[in-house]
Amino acid sequence: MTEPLLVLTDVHKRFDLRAGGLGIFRGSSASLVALDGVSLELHEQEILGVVGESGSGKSTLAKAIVRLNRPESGTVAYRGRDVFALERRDAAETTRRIQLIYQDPYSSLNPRMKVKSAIGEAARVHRYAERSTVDAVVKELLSKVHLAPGVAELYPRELSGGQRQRVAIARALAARPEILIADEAVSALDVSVQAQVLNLLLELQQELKLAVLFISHQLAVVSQVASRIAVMYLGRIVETGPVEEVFHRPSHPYTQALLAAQPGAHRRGEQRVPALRGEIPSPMDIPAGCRFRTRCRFAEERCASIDPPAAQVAPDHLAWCHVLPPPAAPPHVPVEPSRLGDAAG
Amino acid sequence: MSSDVVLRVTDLTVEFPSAPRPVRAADGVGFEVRASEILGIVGESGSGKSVTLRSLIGLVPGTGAVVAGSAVLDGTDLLALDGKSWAQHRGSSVSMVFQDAMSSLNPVMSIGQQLCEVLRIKGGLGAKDAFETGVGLLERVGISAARQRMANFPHELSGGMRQRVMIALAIAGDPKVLLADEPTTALDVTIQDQILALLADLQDSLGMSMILVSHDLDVIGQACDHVCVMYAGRVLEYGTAEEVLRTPRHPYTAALLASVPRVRTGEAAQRRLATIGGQPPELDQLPPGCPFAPRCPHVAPQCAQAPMTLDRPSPAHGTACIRWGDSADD
Amino acid sequence: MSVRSATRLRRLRTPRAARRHPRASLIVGVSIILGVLLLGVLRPLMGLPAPDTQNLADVLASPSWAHPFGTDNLGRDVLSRTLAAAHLDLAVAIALTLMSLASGVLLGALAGFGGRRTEAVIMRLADAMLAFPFMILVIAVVAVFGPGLKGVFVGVPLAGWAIYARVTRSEMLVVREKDYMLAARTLGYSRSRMLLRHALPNVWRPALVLSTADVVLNLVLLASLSYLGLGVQPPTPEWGGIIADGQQYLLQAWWISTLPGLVVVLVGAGFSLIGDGLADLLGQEVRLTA
Repeated sequence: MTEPLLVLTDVHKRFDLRAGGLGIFRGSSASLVALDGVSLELHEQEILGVVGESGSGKSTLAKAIVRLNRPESGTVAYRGRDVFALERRDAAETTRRIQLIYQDPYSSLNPRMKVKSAIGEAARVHRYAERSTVDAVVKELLSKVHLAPGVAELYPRELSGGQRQRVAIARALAARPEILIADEAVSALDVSVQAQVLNLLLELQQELKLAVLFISHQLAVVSQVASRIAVMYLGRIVETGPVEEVFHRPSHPYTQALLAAQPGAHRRGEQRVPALRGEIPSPMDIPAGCRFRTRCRFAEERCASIDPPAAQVAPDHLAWCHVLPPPAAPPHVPVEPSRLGDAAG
Repeated sequence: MSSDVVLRVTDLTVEFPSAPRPVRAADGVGFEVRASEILGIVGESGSGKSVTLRSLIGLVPGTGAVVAGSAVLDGTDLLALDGKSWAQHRGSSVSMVFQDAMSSLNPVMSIGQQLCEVLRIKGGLGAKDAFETGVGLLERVGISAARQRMANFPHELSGGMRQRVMIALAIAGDPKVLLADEPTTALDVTIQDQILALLADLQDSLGMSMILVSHDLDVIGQACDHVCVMYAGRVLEYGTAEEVLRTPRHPYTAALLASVPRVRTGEAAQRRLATIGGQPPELDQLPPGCPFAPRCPHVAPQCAQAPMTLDRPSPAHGTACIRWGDSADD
Repeated sequence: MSVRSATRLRRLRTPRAARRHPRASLIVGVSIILGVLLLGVLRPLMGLPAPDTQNLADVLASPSWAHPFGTDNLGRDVLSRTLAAAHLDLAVAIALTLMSLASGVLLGALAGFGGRRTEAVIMRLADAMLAFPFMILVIAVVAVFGPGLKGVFVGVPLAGWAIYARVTRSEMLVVREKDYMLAARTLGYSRSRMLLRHALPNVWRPALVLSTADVVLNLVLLASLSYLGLGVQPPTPEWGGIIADGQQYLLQAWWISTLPGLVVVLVGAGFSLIGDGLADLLGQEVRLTA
């Protein structure tokens, strides 16, 4: 097994709010804990999916990796070197290798810059193109993301959401990264467009041998592209493992609830109770012991006082739970519709 | 399950001014909503699903106008109502729940104030009765400590709770049909699950009908009895949720279903999703005939003929696709 | 939905677009300004006496075909003087505004983008400038430099930049959180590139709209200074000066102050219309890309 490309070790990140900040979260302190000890590894050419709902800390995670925010403790190591402890020269070189694709295609591109400027600038700043060669480089990148060369002359407002997202990907590729972080990159797109962009990411990952950290709140989307998955809740990872394994044998009650809560997991008319009751606790007031216990139907006494350690469910499959309840019947997966081709005239 | 039709929409057409021709955001839309039933309208952006819904409560945005069609609820054609009459019908005949509760709730009024306002105006209740009824409504939609919550402001509640409050406001006037425009799209999956369960529960206990608009096929499949598939302002397919989502009869529906990612529990290799070729349509440049023709893998010359749409609801599983073997209607 | 139909629908859904036509405002406004300028340029060809030609036989003559604006106390043709002043007034007012605009936008952008200390220094300075009565500050500076325009060109931008800095800083606070700015950071661009190439083009618009109103104010300021005997000196024709000269004859020869005054009002309206049109146009564009 090769050395992992990216290693996060016990990363903690909190945001200190001024007194009386967010009204909803009245906690004992005015400090919002976004990451509460996150450790994970990303290997070369691997697609790791990170799944979580709001308050899970997944976006903060993405930003910490690209140094958009700075953790209080823990390390983010790229190829063995702490990204926050680098000299300026090395820092620039390192950070270009990890690129981020943002969620909102409507604000991730500078509205005043043409597509060719946005992509070309990235290529030139990193010296992969010069003034004389930049047009050709831009055209090549556009074709890699399946956009017509004419798109180079357009402004973002003249493009659709899917096209903008592709431009954002092309811009990220212009820096020749090794790691691509997709932070809810397809969440704002229509279903059919989403499929196109997901396929594109898969294709690029194979072609350019990229490692991808795919962050999303949509389980099915992550399942589609990732080979390994990490499930986050309230600033911690609660379960990790190969995708099929985790979905087939979810061992943490939260993962089980997520799967059961998928729409389409139930049939119409079935008597049902919501998969998960209550609301997520405030990140300003994280429950002691296991943070999920306030909503967990399997909570026991020890869950309130002891933080569950990692339990090995299977060779590569870990879950942080004391109880490790067996999953209910495998989640109902909506059946594939019959192929139209067979029946049409 | 009762099969009386509560709301019958026929040939609904909404236009927006444009040059050279007005653009039709909804074109000849027709469907039925039965008592105690949830009708789902599914489509991507530009399909006209939101405009259709909003026209049923008289909220067609800006410069748009309903230029044809009828929506008959209890003998009254909603589309023929003027501003004044709408005030009477909104909240009592039809009521709406929006996607983003944060911007749909008044940020400077407390939950209690907003609820009481509706109850007093619509139900004619006095202040004290309105308050008690309000508390009851909050409890009904699953908000704990309802009495204390009445004093909260929208920003003090979580997204899921705000959505519950919106639902409480919407059912306060005891509407016959509840219109829900992407009510769970902005919510976490586990919260969405709770809200969908709540809506199903309300429908059962109040006998209320609902129209649920969403781009999420799985949500529609789980929550709805009947489904309308819209594309470029037209209805392309209509039938029960089972029929439409299991055995689709339109190439667009089938293609859409094939492009939805699924949770995998079996295969090891990542499967590429089937995609729909081409780009979503420009509403002012629709081809004659079937709007999906430019992207359809089964297109044939006859697809360019007279516009195809399901403008009349039918009980059977109807499709606007003329190449579908033995289509029963139109 | 493809963005072209989306933008078209969005544009149409905006009630303003249907009711008001920003281009009309812009066109009318620009026409007025250009019209006045053009008349100023064509003045020599209009068959009027030269602006400084005195004709003591014909003082305080009321408007007539020969003298559409009448004559003043020295027999000078008022229209001729008014038109001659046009290019001076307009040029100076616009130049002063541009100077305030440029310095204010740059400083405001820096304040919004830079660290806490930079922001504090710049904004406190802006606060100080704004707290001071504008006119008094300008007059003080002008007094130091003596008569003529030199003092005006120093004093006005010195006091005028503050409002632009404030507006631009507010805009910058919003823009710097946008994803494309974060993207510029993760792509490894330098701070100066991020500020100049990415942020600045997105923050100067509100300042530009503000400046159209400011031109009018500077115009009036110039006139006021002439009125007080500062700034432009006689015999150089300047609208404020002309109006001031005519003040003592207001009852007998109202045309000397009033008609040039109307021209100033017209020019002011022209700039206002330009400002309105720009605000609508730029505001719409921003909405479409949001």
